[in-house]
Amino acid sequence: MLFVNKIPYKIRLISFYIITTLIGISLTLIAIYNASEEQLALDQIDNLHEIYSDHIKQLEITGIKNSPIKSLKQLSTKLHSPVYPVIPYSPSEKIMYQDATCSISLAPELLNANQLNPRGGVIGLSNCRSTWVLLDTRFGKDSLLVLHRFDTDSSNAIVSAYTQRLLVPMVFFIWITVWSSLILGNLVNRLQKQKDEVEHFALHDSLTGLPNRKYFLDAITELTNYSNRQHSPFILAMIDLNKFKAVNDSLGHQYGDLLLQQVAQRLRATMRDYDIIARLGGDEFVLLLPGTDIDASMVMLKRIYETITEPYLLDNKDAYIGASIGVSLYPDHDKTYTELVHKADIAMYQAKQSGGGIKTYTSAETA
Amino acid sequence: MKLHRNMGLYDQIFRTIMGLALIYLGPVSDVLTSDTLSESLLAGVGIMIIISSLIGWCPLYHIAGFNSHRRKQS
Repeated sequence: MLFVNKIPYKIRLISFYIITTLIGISLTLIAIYNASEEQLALDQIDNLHEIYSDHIKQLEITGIKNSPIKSLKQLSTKLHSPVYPVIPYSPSEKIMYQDATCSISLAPELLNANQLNPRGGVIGLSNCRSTWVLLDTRFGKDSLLVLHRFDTDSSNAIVSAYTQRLLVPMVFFIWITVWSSLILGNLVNRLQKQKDEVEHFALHDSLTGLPNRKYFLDAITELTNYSNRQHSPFILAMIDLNKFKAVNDSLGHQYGDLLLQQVAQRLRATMRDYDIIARLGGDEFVLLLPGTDIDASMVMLKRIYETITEPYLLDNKDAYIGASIGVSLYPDHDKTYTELVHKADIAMYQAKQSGGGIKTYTSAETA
Repeated sequence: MKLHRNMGLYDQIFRTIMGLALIYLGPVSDVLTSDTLSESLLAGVGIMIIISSLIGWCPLYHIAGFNSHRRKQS
């Protein structure tokens, strides 16, 4: 299965289509071949029946007047040929037919089981495939049985008719199938791309490209569950930009947007791959630092604070902002994410009131 | 509907040759087959290929998202 997963999706789709098409074509060809062979046998039975019925009539008219059994034997001897052996047949007897290559025990049940139409049928034994025809005579219930070794050249003729008539439509069908699979593959790819885009838009902020509030809520729920199971701590930090409104008001909204984009870039560059940053809205960001305790996180948060409070160059205009960061720790401050967010918020407002910086949540009792 | 060219020059040449070959193998000669259905299919596909190569746009390429036409770098 691993090997199959390594094959590109498009190739897998085409292979699947071609294999199923080839199976379908093979089954259809086998059915057509069998039907053609049966049709040949039916034609042969009808021909034999017609020819021998005429002969029987003529011989009977020209005077075979013995007892029924003798007459049948005489008829069979007169009609007998090496290619078409004619045998007297009685429904109550089992007749053995034998020649150089084949020996058949002609029981009435065998004939009935292999009957194709009321006139006769085909006995298909391993090396002895023969058509047979039962011919009625006027001598009681007994009749004559004509056997004919089925002509193998007829089968070759069917194959030759195949190559003449079926080859091009088959190739055409496979060609169409390959195209259908390519078209389907393309449609699936386009749908997948659209789905990815829609999912991305639903979970990311269009201005900064950072995950949005919905993404953050999903991520923190998952992280809380994981940390519960693994007894692993994590840090939640709320960041609010100070003096952002001043930049927006003094330089305009387009510069405010540029500033938010640059803040997002700096945050992304400072953090580890598995940390999560999201923009909750306006100038508010949130960080999730999995597997980090308060001491280790302080080093990181200081670096983040220093990075985002460095001056910005927005289209040749300088901008200066500060930041307030509120921190809460799982599981020390709370085990539910709503409370963790609330406590980080409280810490952030405390930091904001003191003019910026980093504040860790402290409860009213401990403060 | 504006048809955007999606076929390169080599593709067009190849298709024209293929189209003529299919028409020759189909209704013109009995080399491959003398079956009417087969000949009509070969002729149909041959004509489609030639027309698509003349206008430089292939509907199947279009639906399947292929393009053998390299746009010139401006």
